[in-house]
Amino acid sequence: MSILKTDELKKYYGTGENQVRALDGVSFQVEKGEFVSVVGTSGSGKSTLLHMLGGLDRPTSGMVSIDGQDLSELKDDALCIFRRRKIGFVFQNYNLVPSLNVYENIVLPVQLDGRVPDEAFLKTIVDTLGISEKLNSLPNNLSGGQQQRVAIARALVSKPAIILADEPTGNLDSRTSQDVLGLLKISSNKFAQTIVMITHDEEIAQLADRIVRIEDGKILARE
Amino acid sequence: MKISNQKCIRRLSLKNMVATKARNIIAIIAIALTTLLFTALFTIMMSISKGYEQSNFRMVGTSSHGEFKRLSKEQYELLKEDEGIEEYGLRRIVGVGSSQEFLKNYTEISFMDENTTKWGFTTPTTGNLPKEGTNEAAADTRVLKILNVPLELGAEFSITMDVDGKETTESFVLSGWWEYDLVSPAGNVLIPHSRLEHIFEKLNTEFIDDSIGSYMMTVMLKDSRDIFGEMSEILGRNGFQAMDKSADNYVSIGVNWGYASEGIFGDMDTGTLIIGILILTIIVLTGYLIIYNIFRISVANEIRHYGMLKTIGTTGTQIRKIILIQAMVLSIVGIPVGMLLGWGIGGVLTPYVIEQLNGVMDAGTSISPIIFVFSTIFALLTVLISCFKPVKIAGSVSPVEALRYTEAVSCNKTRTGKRGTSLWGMATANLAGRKGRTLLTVLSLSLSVLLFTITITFVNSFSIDKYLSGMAAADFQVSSAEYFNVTMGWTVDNAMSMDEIEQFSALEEITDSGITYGIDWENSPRAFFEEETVRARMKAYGYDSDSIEETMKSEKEFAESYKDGKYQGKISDIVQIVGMDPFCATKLTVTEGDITRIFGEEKAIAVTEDSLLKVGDKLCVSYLDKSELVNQRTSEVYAEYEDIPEEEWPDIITNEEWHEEEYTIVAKVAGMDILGYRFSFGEKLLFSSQEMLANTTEVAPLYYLFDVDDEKEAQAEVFMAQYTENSPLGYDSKAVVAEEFKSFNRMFLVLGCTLSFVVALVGILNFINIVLTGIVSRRKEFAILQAIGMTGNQLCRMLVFEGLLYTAGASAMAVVLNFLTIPMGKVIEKVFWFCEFRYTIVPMLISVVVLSAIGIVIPMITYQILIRKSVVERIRETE
Ligand SMILES: Nc1ncnc2c1ncn2[C@@H]1O[C@H](COP(=O)(O)OP(=O)(O)O)[C@@H](O)[C@H]1O
Ligand SMILES: [Mg+2]
Repeated sequence: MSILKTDELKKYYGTGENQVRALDGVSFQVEKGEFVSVVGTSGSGKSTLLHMLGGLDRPTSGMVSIDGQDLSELKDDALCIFRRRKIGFVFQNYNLVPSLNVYENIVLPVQLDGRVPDEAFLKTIVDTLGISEKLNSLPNNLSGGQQQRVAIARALVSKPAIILADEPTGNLDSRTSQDVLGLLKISSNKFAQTIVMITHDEEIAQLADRIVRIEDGKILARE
Repeated sequence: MKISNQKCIRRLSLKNMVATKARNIIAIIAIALTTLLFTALFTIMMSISKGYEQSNFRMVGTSSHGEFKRLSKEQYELLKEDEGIEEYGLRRIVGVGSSQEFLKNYTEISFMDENTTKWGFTTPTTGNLPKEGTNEAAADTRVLKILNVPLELGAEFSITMDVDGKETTESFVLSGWWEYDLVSPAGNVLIPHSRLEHIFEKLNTEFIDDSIGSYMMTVMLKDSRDIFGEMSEILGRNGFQAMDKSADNYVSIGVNWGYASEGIFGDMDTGTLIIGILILTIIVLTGYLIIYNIFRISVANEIRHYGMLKTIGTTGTQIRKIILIQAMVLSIVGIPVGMLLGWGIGGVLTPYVIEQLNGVMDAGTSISPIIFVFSTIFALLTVLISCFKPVKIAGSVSPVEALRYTEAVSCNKTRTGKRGTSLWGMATANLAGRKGRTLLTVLSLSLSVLLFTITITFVNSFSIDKYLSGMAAADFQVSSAEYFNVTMGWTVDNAMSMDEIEQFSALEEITDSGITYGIDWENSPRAFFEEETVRARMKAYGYDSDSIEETMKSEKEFAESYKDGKYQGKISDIVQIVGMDPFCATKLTVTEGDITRIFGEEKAIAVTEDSLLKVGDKLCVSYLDKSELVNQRTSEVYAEYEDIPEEEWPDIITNEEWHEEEYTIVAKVAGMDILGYRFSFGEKLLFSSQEMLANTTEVAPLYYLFDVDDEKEAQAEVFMAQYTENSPLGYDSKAVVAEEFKSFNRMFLVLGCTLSFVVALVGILNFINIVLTGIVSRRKEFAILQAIGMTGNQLCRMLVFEGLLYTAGASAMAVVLNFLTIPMGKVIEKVFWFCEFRYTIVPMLISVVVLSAIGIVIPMITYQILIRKSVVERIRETE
């Protein structure tokens, strides 16, 4: 069963001469439990694709559906709510709330939804990610790798349908990158998570079940 | 479930505030200053209203809610226990002063308990209330003055009084006194209850249902909403009623009308209303310019944060709530602080305003809850209006844009040319990149410049000479104190006597003098006018068209029946006449015709400048010679209705005799508002005193006018001040009017400068905020600039240039405004007759100097804060 599906997805920026075709007809699917990495050179449209997949931005044309829901059918606030329930994000620069501590950051999406976090599940996640000692720390006191693990925990905690990661290791050194990715993969297996990860690093991409290549806003080939 | 969601939003909101400490402090000060302005305004308004109410109470003679009149002892004892009565007091009148001195000064001798004296403004300010069992008495200063009692505790005096028809003379020892108030309805002598009983015993007085001797119970109820209803209910509960006078259980109720009036706001004219709304608008605008700017900048600086919250699923509504909660928390801190300060400042300013208001006393600063409720409402409203747009922006931030925001360091997409090479160029470019906030800051700073320029230009243009020539006719104008008091007004009864005038005219300093005579409204003559003239006047007085038509109809009928229809078609209307000695007439400004002709042989009069009558018109004035009440049956003649037995009333007719004179209008004059009655009821006609005295009987001097030797003016002033201090007379002089003018001037200056000052503080705060946030958000950029070789000195200079560019905008505004005052000067002179426009450069100079100073100093101080951290530290900073 495919959890994510796009059809002829296009995103153009600007008009006329200045028009940039960031995405130019992308159709692909991700199956439940799959770990897919998207690779391409800088400016090839990877981030744009991820933004479309996550409903952070609206495509010029084409369709994105997640867990059977066509995103274009949702209004802004509904899309927001859909996002916090179904999609987990991991960004290159972690995007943690600096004024909240680690625990608060992790449970934020669940609480925003007016739910009570599943403490047992949360404990498993933080144990798996090795941040159970850091729950009371503020993000600025953590190393980059630790911050990214918190971000991954945050993405996992709401048991989303899919996790979207945009260059999650872009700010980390290669050893830490390996650690974080390892954890991401373990989590994906352990919690049966579907993951789409963007990277421009071939080596890291190899860790995925499948690699999708993108160039000039188009998908090149499948492996 | 919903609860925990709210809690989460609240926590996010509050936690986030910890990170924006500087903004919070600035926002709290901004909200406090805005609230301060609102509260000061409302405090002044409510204090005036309180003073107005107190003045009304003084006129009524008490601040109690009401009085149960003419009770028996038993009724009093029964009623005072009623639960509807919050507090009560007792008053029993013994008699009224009956000797010669009291003829013009109605004075009551009575017992009053402590509550009654407290509410009745008769608590001695020196000494005490008379003690029971002694022969002490306390009195007001006027009573003591007319009885020639020295103001010394223990002084002995006696009073001859009428006690229920019996006369007695009683002697007392003075135990205390208080200042007599011109508006109070009666003079008062207070004696102990024991003395009262003694007098009644001695005279063997029997009192049944009469004012003398009966128990008057003054009461305070739970509230003043329906005093008559409440008091009636109290009576009902105890088996009495206030409706049927003939019944046995009737008790008369007196209600304090001071509570019924709508207060000063009911009397407010459109002009005052417009000024009030204008000031409110200025305050809202002041608050808006800064609070909006603070939140706008804060949201802009945190847009990434909000975008990120969106990526993890925070909805726009939730983000809006986060910011609104912050605004509310800041308000909760800022508003009370502002209210406290504003109340204090309002209290300090109130006396300056009350001094200018006739008929309003200074009753202290109001602590009415209305002040605080309205201040809170207006302050919150301003905060909400100001937050509206920033909140909307934050709520609708696109998560992608927010993500990209961090990746691009500069907010400018492109930059053409070589502007960036000089420090000035960089500074200009930096400001140009933030046009919105730059404009708001300049506006905010300019607002105070505007207010300051207006204040100073106005005050500078107030012309004392012009005011004096308009407001003080001669060197001195003497009359009864009531003549000068707008709430009382001159009447023949309170007029100064010819004896008193004689005393003045004997003064050697006087070079020239004259008397003007007046007459009471009841005895004023009537004149026959054209219909349109009366219509126009009635309209100007505010009559509705129905009553105008009615008057026209009945007056036409009257004219037909009067003197065989001699004045058919004309409308008779009352006229307000004065008779002037030639000296007084010379003090008027003649706008048309020749005033001296009224003193000639012909029958001539003058009218006011704004009269609808024309020079050359003829006017027939008809004087009432005799008015009597005649019993048709018995032919008996009465002077007043009160003298007639009730059963005779149906047979009574009024018998009036009139005579007429025809006059030519020979002049139009200005200045009658000073040299007339100081109130008006009809067309004002100016006669020679000879002509007036020849045709009317019930006249009295309206005032006595005199000029003195120029060298002796000061001397005369001292004499007049001393003479009138303890007498029923009052006076106006150049010095008095000049003092009034100066106090008006002072009020304007104080209020204007306070407002300008607080608004300036807000503007400066706005400026501090923009400089601070500008530097903080560019910390990293500056660090990089320094890393590539810009010296700290250069950086500081660049910041100062930026600061100066902001204030240059406001300075330019100051210059433009200053030039704008020149064409405005003509308008000022037109609207305010006592202004003579004088151009002044002072507000511009002060504004420019102050603006330049803050433009330099504030960026420098902020820079000092910035450089506390090293370049490396700043470059490495993640947030
Ligand atoms: N908001 C935008 N406005 C204009 N152009 C954009 C915008 N976002 C992305 N682009 C352009 O779209 C292309 C793809 O960008 P992106 O998806 O960020 O690439 P990648 O993540 O692969 O480096 C780039 O050429 C970029 O300049
Ligand atoms: Mg990218």
